[in-house]
Amino acid sequence: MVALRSPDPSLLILTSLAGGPKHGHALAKDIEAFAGAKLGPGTLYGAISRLEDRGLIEPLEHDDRRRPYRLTAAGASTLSESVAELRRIAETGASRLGVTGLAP
Amino acid sequence: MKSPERDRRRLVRAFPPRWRDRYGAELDALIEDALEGRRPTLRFRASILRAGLAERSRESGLTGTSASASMRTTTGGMVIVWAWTAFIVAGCAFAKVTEHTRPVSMVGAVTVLAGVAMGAVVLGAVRATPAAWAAARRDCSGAIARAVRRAAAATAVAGLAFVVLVAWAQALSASAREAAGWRYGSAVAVTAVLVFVAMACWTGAAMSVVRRMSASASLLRLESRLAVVVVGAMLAMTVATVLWWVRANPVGGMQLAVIVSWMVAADLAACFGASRLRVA
Repeated sequence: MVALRSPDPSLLILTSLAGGPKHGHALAKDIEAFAGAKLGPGTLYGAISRLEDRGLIEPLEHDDRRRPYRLTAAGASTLSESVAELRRIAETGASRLGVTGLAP
Repeated sequence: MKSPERDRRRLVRAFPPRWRDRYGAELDALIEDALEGRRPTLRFRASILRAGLAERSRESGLTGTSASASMRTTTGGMVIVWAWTAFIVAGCAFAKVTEHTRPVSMVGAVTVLAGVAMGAVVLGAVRATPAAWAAARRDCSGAIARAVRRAAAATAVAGLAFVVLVAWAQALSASAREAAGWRYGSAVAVTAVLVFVAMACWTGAAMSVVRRMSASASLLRLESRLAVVVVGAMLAMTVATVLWWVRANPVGGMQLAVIVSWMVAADLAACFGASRLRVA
Protein backbone atom coordinates (compact mmCIF):
# COMPACT_ATOMS: atom_id res chain seq x y z
CA MET A 1 0.00 0.00 0.00
CA VAL A 2 1.24 3.48 -0.89
CA ALA A 3 1.10 6.41 1.60
CA LEU A 4 -0.86 9.45 0.42
CA ARG A 5 2.20 11.74 0.31
CA SER A 6 5.67 11.92 1.72
CA PRO A 7 6.22 14.49 4.49
CA ASP A 8 7.68 17.88 3.54
CA PRO A 9 11.50 17.64 3.09
CA SER A 10 11.90 20.68 5.36
CA LEU A 11 10.11 18.91 8.20
CA LEU A 12 12.25 15.80 7.69
CA ILE A 13 15.43 17.88 7.82
CA LEU A 14 14.35 19.71 10.99
CA THR A 15 13.45 16.39 12.59
CA SER A 16 16.81 14.91 11.68
CA LEU A 17 18.73 17.94 12.97
CA ALA A 18 16.79 17.77 16.25
CA GLY A 19 18.99 14.71 16.92
CA GLY A 20 22.19 16.75 16.47
CA PRO A 21 24.17 18.58 13.77
CA LYS A 22 24.67 16.72 10.47
CA HIS A 23 26.08 17.36 6.99
CA GLY A 24 24.17 16.63 3.77
CA HIS A 25 24.97 12.94 3.33
CA ALA A 26 24.42 12.14 7.03
CA LEU A 27 21.05 13.95 6.82
CA ALA A 28 19.99 11.94 3.77
CA LYS A 29 20.97 8.65 5.46
CA ASP A 30 19.23 9.56 8.73
CA ILE A 31 16.03 10.64 6.96
CA GLU A 32 15.98 7.41 4.97
CA ALA A 33 16.42 5.45 8.18
CA PHE A 34 13.67 7.10 10.26
CA ALA A 35 11.16 8.09 7.52
CA GLY A 36 11.94 5.70 4.67
CA ALA A 37 12.11 8.73 2.35
CA LYS A 38 14.98 9.03 -0.12
CA LEU A 39 15.73 12.71 -0.65
CA GLY A 40 17.82 13.42 -3.75
CA PRO A 41 20.79 15.82 -3.36
CA GLY A 42 18.98 18.59 -5.26
CA THR A 43 15.81 18.32 -3.17
CA LEU A 44 17.82 18.15 0.04
CA TYR A 45 19.96 21.21 -0.68
CA GLY A 46 16.97 23.16 -2.08
CA ALA A 47 15.25 22.61 1.27
CA ILE A 48 18.44 23.35 3.26
CA SER A 49 18.88 26.71 1.51
CA ARG A 50 15.26 27.71 2.19
CA LEU A 51 15.51 26.66 5.86
CA GLU A 52 18.71 28.67 6.26
CA ASP A 53 17.04 31.69 4.58
CA ARG A 54 14.24 31.47 7.13
CA GLY A 55 16.72 31.20 10.00
CA LEU A 56 15.49 27.75 11.04
CA ILE A 57 18.89 26.08 10.64
CA GLU A 58 22.47 27.39 10.58
CA PRO A 59 25.79 26.08 9.26
CA LEU A 60 28.63 25.23 11.61
CA GLU A 61 32.18 26.36 10.90
CA HIS A 62 33.96 23.68 8.92
CA ASP A 63 36.94 23.50 6.59
CA ASP A 64 35.63 20.58 4.57
CA ARG A 65 33.10 20.77 1.71
CA ARG A 66 30.81 18.65 3.92
CA ARG A 67 29.51 21.44 6.12
CA PRO A 68 27.29 20.37 9.03
CA TYR A 69 24.08 22.21 9.96
CA ARG A 70 22.28 22.55 13.26
CA LEU A 71 18.80 23.56 14.39
CA THR A 72 18.35 27.15 15.61
CA ALA A 73 15.98 28.14 18.43
CA ALA A 74 13.47 29.32 15.81
CA GLY A 75 13.85 25.97 14.02
CA ALA A 76 13.22 24.03 17.23
CA SER A 77 10.11 26.11 17.89
CA THR A 78 8.81 25.59 14.32
CA LEU A 79 9.47 21.85 14.60
CA SER A 80 7.60 21.69 17.94
CA GLU A 81 4.55 23.39 16.39
CA SER A 82 4.64 21.10 13.34
CA VAL A 83 5.00 17.98 15.50
CA ALA A 84 2.08 19.08 17.71
CA GLU A 85 -0.06 19.62 14.63
CA LEU A 86 0.91 16.24 13.16
CA ARG A 87 0.18 14.59 16.50
CA ARG A 88 -3.34 16.09 16.57
CA ILE A 89 -3.98 14.79 13.03
CA ALA A 90 -2.52 11.36 13.85
CA GLU A 91 -4.55 11.06 17.07
CA THR A 92 -7.77 12.08 15.31
CA GLY A 93 -7.13 9.59 12.52
CA ALA A 94 -6.22 6.83 14.98
CA SER A 95 -9.26 7.40 17.20
CA ARG A 96 -11.63 7.46 14.21
CA LEU A 97 -10.11 4.24 12.90
CA GLY A 98 -10.22 2.69 16.36
CA VAL A 99 -6.46 2.20 16.37
CA THR A 100 -4.86 2.17 19.81
CA GLY A 101 -1.29 2.17 20.99
CA LEU A 102 -0.08 5.60 19.79
CA ALA A 103 2.75 6.82 21.96
CA PRO A 104 1.68 9.55 24.46
CA MET B 1 39.85 17.06 -14.60
CA LYS B 2 38.56 13.52 -14.06
CA SER B 3 35.30 12.63 -15.74
CA PRO B 4 33.14 12.04 -12.58
CA GLU B 5 34.26 15.40 -11.23
CA ARG B 6 33.32 17.11 -14.50
CA ASP B 7 30.00 15.27 -14.48
CA ARG B 8 29.23 16.53 -10.96
CA ARG B 9 30.18 20.11 -11.79
CA ARG B 10 27.86 19.94 -14.79
CA LEU B 11 25.00 18.78 -12.55
CA VAL B 12 25.61 21.55 -10.01
CA ARG B 13 25.42 24.08 -12.87
CA ALA B 14 21.66 23.43 -13.00
CA PHE B 15 21.44 25.79 -10.01
CA PRO B 16 21.68 29.60 -10.32
CA PRO B 17 25.17 31.18 -9.97
CA ARG B 18 24.45 33.00 -6.70
CA TRP B 19 23.08 29.81 -5.14
CA ARG B 20 26.16 27.88 -6.39
CA ASP B 21 28.50 30.41 -4.77
CA ARG B 22 26.99 29.55 -1.39
CA TYR B 23 26.01 25.88 -1.67
CA GLY B 24 27.78 24.60 -4.84
CA ALA B 25 30.74 22.94 -3.10
CA GLU B 26 28.49 21.32 -0.48
CA LEU B 27 26.08 20.00 -3.10
CA ASP B 28 29.04 18.67 -5.11
CA ALA B 29 30.27 16.80 -2.00
CA LEU B 30 26.79 15.39 -1.36
CA ILE B 31 26.47 14.19 -4.96
CA GLU B 32 29.89 12.55 -4.63
CA ASP B 33 28.81 10.80 -1.40
CA ALA B 34 25.42 9.77 -2.81
CA LEU B 35 26.91 8.26 -5.97
CA GLU B 36 29.65 6.32 -4.13
CA GLY B 37 31.72 6.08 -7.30
CA ARG B 38 28.81 5.05 -9.54
CA ARG B 39 27.73 7.02 -12.61
CA PRO B 40 24.59 9.11 -12.08
CA THR B 41 21.45 7.53 -13.49
CA LEU B 42 19.08 9.43 -15.74
CA ARG B 43 16.61 9.69 -12.86
CA PHE B 44 19.29 11.08 -10.58
CA ARG B 45 20.23 13.71 -13.19
CA ALA B 46 16.56 14.59 -13.75
CA SER B 47 16.06 15.05 -10.00
CA ILE B 48 19.02 17.49 -9.77
CA LEU B 49 17.87 19.33 -12.89
CA ARG B 50 14.33 19.68 -11.50
CA ALA B 51 15.63 21.04 -8.18
CA GLY B 52 17.98 23.43 -10.03
CA LEU B 53 15.17 24.76 -12.22
CA ALA B 54 12.94 25.19 -9.16
CA GLU B 55 15.72 27.20 -7.48
CA ARG B 56 16.23 29.30 -10.62
CA SER B 57 12.51 30.06 -10.90
CA ARG B 58 12.37 30.99 -7.20
CA GLU B 59 15.41 33.25 -7.50
CA SER B 60 14.03 34.99 -10.59
CA GLY B 61 10.70 35.59 -8.84
CA LEU B 62 8.75 33.30 -11.17
CA THR B 63 7.58 31.18 -8.23
CA GLY B 64 7.51 31.55 -4.46
CA THR B 65 7.76 34.70 -2.38
CA SER B 66 11.47 34.82 -1.57
CA ALA B 67 12.45 37.15 -4.45
CA SER B 68 12.17 40.92 -3.96
CA ALA B 69 9.02 42.79 -5.04
CA SER B 70 11.09 44.46 -7.75
CA MET B 71 12.36 41.13 -9.11
CA ARG B 72 8.90 39.55 -9.06
CA THR B 73 7.35 42.52 -10.82
CA THR B 74 10.01 42.58 -13.50
CA THR B 75 9.79 38.82 -14.02
CA GLY B 76 6.00 39.10 -14.26
CA GLY B 77 6.48 41.86 -16.82
CA MET B 78 8.89 39.69 -18.83
CA VAL B 79 6.39 36.82 -18.86
CA ILE B 80 3.75 39.23 -20.16
CA VAL B 81 6.09 40.48 -22.92
CA TRP B 82 6.77 36.86 -23.93
CA ALA B 83 3.04 36.11 -23.91
CA TRP B 84 2.39 39.26 -25.95
CA THR B 85 4.98 38.18 -28.53
CA ALA B 86 3.34 34.73 -28.79
CA PHE B 87 -0.04 36.46 -29.08
CA ILE B 88 1.21 38.61 -31.98
CA VAL B 89 2.35 35.45 -33.83
CA ALA B 90 -1.12 33.92 -33.32
CA GLY B 91 -2.76 37.21 -34.36
CA CYS B 92 -0.75 37.33 -37.61
CA ALA B 93 -1.71 33.71 -38.37
CA PHE B 94 -5.35 34.54 -37.62
CA ALA B 95 -5.24 37.60 -39.93
CA LYS B 96 -3.78 35.48 -42.74
CA VAL B 97 -6.31 32.63 -42.39
CA THR B 98 -9.35 34.95 -42.20
CA GLU B 99 -8.22 37.69 -44.60
CA HIS B 100 -11.29 37.25 -46.86
CA THR B 101 -13.92 36.41 -44.25
CA ARG B 102 -13.51 38.63 -41.18
CA PRO B 103 -15.72 41.75 -40.81
CA VAL B 104 -14.18 45.23 -41.02
CA SER B 105 -15.64 46.28 -37.62
CA MET B 106 -13.79 43.45 -35.87
CA VAL B 107 -10.53 44.33 -37.64
CA GLY B 108 -10.89 47.95 -36.48
CA ALA B 109 -11.53 47.01 -32.83
CA VAL B 110 -8.69 44.47 -32.71
CA THR B 111 -6.27 46.88 -34.41
CA VAL B 112 -7.03 49.58 -31.81
CA LEU B 113 -6.52 47.10 -28.95
CA ALA B 114 -3.30 45.80 -30.51
CA GLY B 115 -2.09 49.41 -30.87
CA VAL B 116 -2.86 50.12 -27.20
CA ALA B 117 -1.00 46.98 -26.07
CA MET B 118 1.99 47.70 -28.31
CA GLY B 119 2.06 51.30 -27.09
CA ALA B 120 2.10 50.07 -23.48
CA VAL B 121 4.99 47.67 -24.23
CA VAL B 122 7.03 50.40 -25.95
CA LEU B 123 6.30 52.97 -23.21
CA GLY B 124 7.30 50.42 -20.55
CA ALA B 125 10.58 49.73 -22.35
CA VAL B 126 11.32 53.44 -22.84
CA ARG B 127 10.61 54.34 -19.20
CA ALA B 128 12.81 51.43 -17.95
CA THR B 129 15.72 52.36 -20.25
CA PRO B 130 17.45 55.00 -18.01
CA ALA B 131 17.52 52.64 -14.98
CA ALA B 132 18.69 49.75 -17.20
CA TRP B 133 21.39 51.94 -18.76
CA ALA B 134 22.61 53.03 -15.32
CA ALA B 135 22.77 49.37 -14.23
CA ALA B 136 24.74 48.43 -17.36
CA ARG B 137 27.24 51.26 -16.72
CA ARG B 138 27.66 50.20 -13.08
CA ASP B 139 28.24 46.54 -13.98
CA CYS B 140 31.94 45.92 -13.41
CA SER B 141 31.73 42.15 -13.91
CA GLY B 142 30.83 42.56 -17.59
CA ALA B 143 27.94 40.09 -17.18
CA ILE B 144 25.42 42.44 -18.82
CA ALA B 145 27.73 43.20 -21.74
CA ARG B 146 28.33 39.46 -22.27
CA ALA B 147 24.60 38.69 -22.14
CA VAL B 148 23.80 41.51 -24.59
CA ARG B 149 26.60 40.40 -26.97
CA ARG B 150 25.25 36.81 -26.83
CA ALA B 151 21.70 38.02 -27.51
CA ALA B 152 22.86 40.28 -30.35
CA ALA B 153 24.76 37.38 -31.96
CA ALA B 154 21.71 35.09 -31.62
CA THR B 155 19.52 37.81 -33.15
CA ALA B 156 21.94 38.25 -36.06
CA VAL B 157 21.87 34.49 -36.75
CA ALA B 158 18.06 34.34 -36.47
CA GLY B 159 17.71 37.45 -38.69
CA LEU B 160 20.00 35.96 -41.31
CA ALA B 161 18.04 32.69 -41.27
CA PHE B 162 14.79 34.65 -41.59
CA VAL B 163 16.08 36.67 -44.58
CA VAL B 164 17.30 33.50 -46.31
CA LEU B 165 13.96 31.79 -45.63
CA VAL B 166 11.94 34.73 -46.99
CA ALA B 167 14.18 34.99 -50.06
CA TRP B 168 13.77 31.27 -50.69
CA ALA B 169 9.99 31.39 -50.15
CA GLN B 170 9.61 34.30 -52.57
CA ALA B 171 11.66 32.53 -55.21
CA LEU B 172 9.30 29.53 -55.02
CA SER B 173 5.80 29.40 -56.45
CA ALA B 174 3.07 27.91 -54.25
CA SER B 175 3.35 24.58 -56.08
CA ALA B 176 7.16 24.58 -55.88
CA ARG B 177 6.88 25.30 -52.13
CA GLU B 178 4.59 22.28 -51.82
CA ALA B 179 7.10 20.19 -53.76
CA ALA B 180 9.96 21.37 -51.49
CA GLY B 181 8.00 19.55 -48.75
CA TRP B 182 10.06 18.58 -45.73
CA ARG B 183 13.03 20.75 -46.73
CA TYR B 184 10.90 23.89 -46.63
CA GLY B 185 9.19 22.72 -43.43
CA SER B 186 12.55 22.04 -41.80
CA ALA B 187 13.85 25.49 -42.79
CA VAL B 188 10.77 27.11 -41.21
CA ALA B 189 11.23 24.99 -38.04
CA VAL B 190 14.95 25.83 -37.77
CA THR B 191 14.21 29.55 -38.22
CA ALA B 192 11.49 29.35 -35.54
CA VAL B 193 13.96 27.68 -33.13
CA LEU B 194 16.60 30.35 -33.84
CA VAL B 195 14.04 33.12 -33.20
CA PHE B 196 13.07 31.40 -29.95
CA VAL B 197 16.75 31.13 -28.91
CA ALA B 198 17.29 34.82 -29.71
CA MET B 199 14.26 35.76 -27.59
CA ALA B 200 15.49 33.55 -24.76
CA CYS B 201 18.91 35.25 -24.95
CA TRP B 202 17.29 38.71 -24.76
CA THR B 203 15.23 37.54 -21.79
CA GLY B 204 18.46 36.36 -20.14
CA ALA B 205 20.07 39.73 -20.90
CA ALA B 206 17.05 41.57 -19.49
CA MET B 207 17.15 39.45 -16.32
CA SER B 208 20.86 40.14 -16.02
CA VAL B 209 20.09 43.89 -16.15
CA VAL B 210 17.14 43.58 -13.75
CA ARG B 211 19.24 41.80 -11.13
CA ARG B 212 21.53 44.83 -11.04
CA MET B 213 18.93 47.53 -11.64
CA SER B 214 17.51 49.70 -8.87
CA ALA B 215 14.00 50.54 -10.03
CA SER B 216 12.12 53.16 -8.07
CA ALA B 217 8.71 52.35 -6.58
CA SER B 218 7.08 54.77 -9.01
CA LEU B 219 8.73 53.06 -12.01
CA LEU B 220 7.59 49.63 -10.74
CA ARG B 221 4.06 50.97 -10.29
CA LEU B 222 4.02 52.36 -13.81
CA GLU B 223 5.43 49.11 -15.30
CA SER B 224 2.80 47.08 -13.41
CA ARG B 225 -0.03 49.27 -14.69
CA LEU B 226 1.25 49.07 -18.26
CA ALA B 227 1.55 45.28 -17.93
CA VAL B 228 -2.06 45.09 -16.77
CA VAL B 229 -3.09 47.19 -19.81
CA VAL B 230 -1.33 44.71 -22.12
CA VAL B 231 -3.02 41.72 -20.43
CA GLY B 232 -6.42 43.45 -20.60
CA ALA B 233 -5.97 44.22 -24.32
CA MET B 234 -4.95 40.60 -25.01
CA LEU B 235 -8.02 39.25 -23.20
CA ALA B 236 -10.31 41.68 -25.04
CA MET B 237 -8.82 40.70 -28.42
CA THR B 238 -9.26 37.01 -27.60
CA VAL B 239 -12.89 37.56 -26.59
CA ALA B 240 -13.55 39.51 -29.83
CA THR B 241 -11.88 36.76 -31.87
CA VAL B 242 -13.78 33.93 -30.18
CA LEU B 243 -17.13 35.75 -30.44
CA TRP B 244 -16.63 36.36 -34.14
CA TRP B 245 -15.43 32.81 -34.71
CA VAL B 246 -18.45 31.29 -32.92
CA ARG B 247 -20.91 33.54 -34.80
CA ALA B 248 -19.26 32.87 -38.15
CA ASN B 249 -19.97 29.13 -37.94
CA PRO B 250 -16.42 28.07 -37.18
CA VAL B 251 -14.72 28.84 -40.48
CA GLY B 252 -11.14 27.76 -40.93
CA GLY B 253 -11.72 24.46 -39.10
CA MET B 254 -8.74 22.95 -37.35
CA GLN B 255 -6.38 25.76 -38.38
CA LEU B 256 -8.43 28.40 -36.55
CA ALA B 257 -8.98 26.10 -33.58
CA VAL B 258 -5.19 25.82 -33.18
CA ILE B 259 -4.72 29.59 -33.56
CA VAL B 260 -7.44 30.44 -31.01
CA SER B 261 -6.02 27.85 -28.58
CA TRP B 262 -2.61 29.48 -29.03
CA MET B 263 -4.15 32.89 -28.19
CA VAL B 264 -5.84 31.48 -25.09
CA ALA B 265 -2.55 29.85 -23.99
CA ALA B 266 -0.79 33.23 -24.42
CA ASP B 267 -3.58 34.87 -22.36
CA LEU B 268 -3.13 32.32 -19.57
CA ALA B 269 0.64 32.93 -19.55
CA ALA B 270 0.00 36.69 -19.43
CA CYS B 271 -2.44 36.28 -16.52
CA PHE B 272 0.20 34.23 -14.69
CA GLY B 273 2.69 37.05 -15.33
CA ALA B 274 0.17 39.57 -13.99
CA SER B 275 -0.21 37.47 -10.82
CA ARG B 276 3.54 37.97 -10.14
CA LEU B 277 3.34 41.76 -10.26
CA ARG B 278 4.04 43.14 -6.79
CA VAL B 279 4.35 46.76 -5.92
CA ALA B 280 5.73 47.80 -2.57
